[in-house]
Amino acid sequence: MDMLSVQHITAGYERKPAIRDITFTIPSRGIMGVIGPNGAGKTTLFRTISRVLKPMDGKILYRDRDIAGMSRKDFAQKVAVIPQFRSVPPPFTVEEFVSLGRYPHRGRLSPFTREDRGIIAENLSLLGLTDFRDRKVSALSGGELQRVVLAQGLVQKPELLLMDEPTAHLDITHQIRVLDLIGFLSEQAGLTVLIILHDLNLASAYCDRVLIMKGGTVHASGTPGSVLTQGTIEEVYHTPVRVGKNPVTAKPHIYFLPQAGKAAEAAGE
Amino acid sequence: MNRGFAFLILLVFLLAAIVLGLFTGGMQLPPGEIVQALFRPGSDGIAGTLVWELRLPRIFMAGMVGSALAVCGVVFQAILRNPLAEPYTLGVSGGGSLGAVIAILLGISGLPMALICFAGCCLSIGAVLGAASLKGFSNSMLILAGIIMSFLFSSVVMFIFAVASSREVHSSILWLMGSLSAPPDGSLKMLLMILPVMLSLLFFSRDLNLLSLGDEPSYHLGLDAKRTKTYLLLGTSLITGVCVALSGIIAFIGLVIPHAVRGMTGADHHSLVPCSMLAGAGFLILSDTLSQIIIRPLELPVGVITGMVGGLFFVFYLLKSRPAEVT
Repeated sequence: MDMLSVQHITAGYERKPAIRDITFTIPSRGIMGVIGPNGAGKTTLFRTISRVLKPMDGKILYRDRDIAGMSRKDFAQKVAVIPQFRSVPPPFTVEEFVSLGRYPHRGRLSPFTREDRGIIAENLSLLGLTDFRDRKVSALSGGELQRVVLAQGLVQKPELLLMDEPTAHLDITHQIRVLDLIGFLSEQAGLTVLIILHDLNLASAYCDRVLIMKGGTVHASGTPGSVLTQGTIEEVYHTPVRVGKNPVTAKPHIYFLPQAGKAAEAAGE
Repeated sequence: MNRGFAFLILLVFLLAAIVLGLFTGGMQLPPGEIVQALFRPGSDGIAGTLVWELRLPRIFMAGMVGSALAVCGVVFQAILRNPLAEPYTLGVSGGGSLGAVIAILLGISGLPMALICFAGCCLSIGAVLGAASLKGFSNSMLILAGIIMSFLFSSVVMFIFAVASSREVHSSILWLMGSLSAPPDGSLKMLLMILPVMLSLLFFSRDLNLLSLGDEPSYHLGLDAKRTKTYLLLGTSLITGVCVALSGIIAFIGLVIPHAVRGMTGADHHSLVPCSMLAGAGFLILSDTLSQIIIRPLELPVGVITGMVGGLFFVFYLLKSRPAEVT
């Protein structure tokens, strides 16, 4: 059975649809990447799936249940959402901040159980945050904060993890670290992940399936090998590329072709 | 600092403030007489009247108002996600001032004045919440509407000052500075009415933790932000309205106490809410006692003391803390 089925979704802001008639499914397990140029509707799609935005048309089924009919708490127990932009959080300690992820599983007044404490400690150590537990989140670097936010999502013990550009503003060390971890969780813990990425090579390296969006619709979807071709990428991004192979993993690798001469020519016209 | 320890320290601070308030004040009596009067309620004599009819009610009122303003500050700072928010941010003081000034002009005092003042608070809060509800209680809309309302109402107050006689202006200004010296008759009852609302805030620690992350993150962790915000805004507005109506505008407590307590307990509202209540109560009782003895036999408006102490604390706090810790 599919984890999530998006059916004919049209959504947007102030009656202007930013995405139209989108249909696809996310199978259980595995990482599904969403790529596409700026303004293609990736974040609108993300916000619709995470229920921030109500669809104008169509529906989304989570294991055959319409998500519009699920209670907030119920949804939060199954789906963790890690949006792209986070303003500076209040001065919680790392441990307090991560603990907030257990709230969907506990009643308003029931204190954390030993199980909760265990889950929190486990995820802190998984993300290498144990030594940071008493630091203030407001004083962390970008890479540390991203790991803390991810830890908060993971202690929700979700079946589906939605992430909007978790690697934005991170250096390559932290990009690879975050994605390695997500890959590990998907393989070992059976977590299903939907992830928006800008970097085509990271999408190729880590995603089992890739969905390419353009102009508010799905342009293509499939395995990285079948979708990340020169033709498709040039069509979607209007940028000349060549596609080769990663010498180690044999996954597609996209090479960009600098066009400095052409730009100068265009400027001279 | 350990949370239980912080709670204990603040409890001791509150008790010390109560004891100090009981034994000192505008009039000096030997401590022995006060202790005697304390154990014989209803007894005649100066000590009995002083303890049971003046000092204890006044301590109770200072404690309630202080703790109410402090906890409302905590709630507003969490909801608006702004460390500079305080109970007056949403313009409640503007409406309250207008009501009070009108009452003073008309020669109304006591409970009717408190009610007119409260009506003014309700009017401004209603306008702010009404405007903000059109935009789903977005924070920027709340803050903007609050500032606009404050300006509007204070302009009307200025207008009244410009045309009123100087004696009325003087008593209005004294009232605006905040004072606990002449509470109207029904004030204890009004305070008891808001007590359940205040206590209910203790059960919202989890929601406040989530709200302080922002609307969307709290939504993703299962919170119905709009409904929770609506209850909290209405509840705290009611509390603030009653406080303003009974004691004028007591500056800085709602801003300074939450910051000071956060420095002791951290940002988790499970400890921040109860500790702020204790600290606010203790601080206002202490300030009120000081206001009675500094220029004895005259009395200072307590708002002058809280404003000065609070302002100095804030300067010190901002200079001492590193930028990342200020928020």
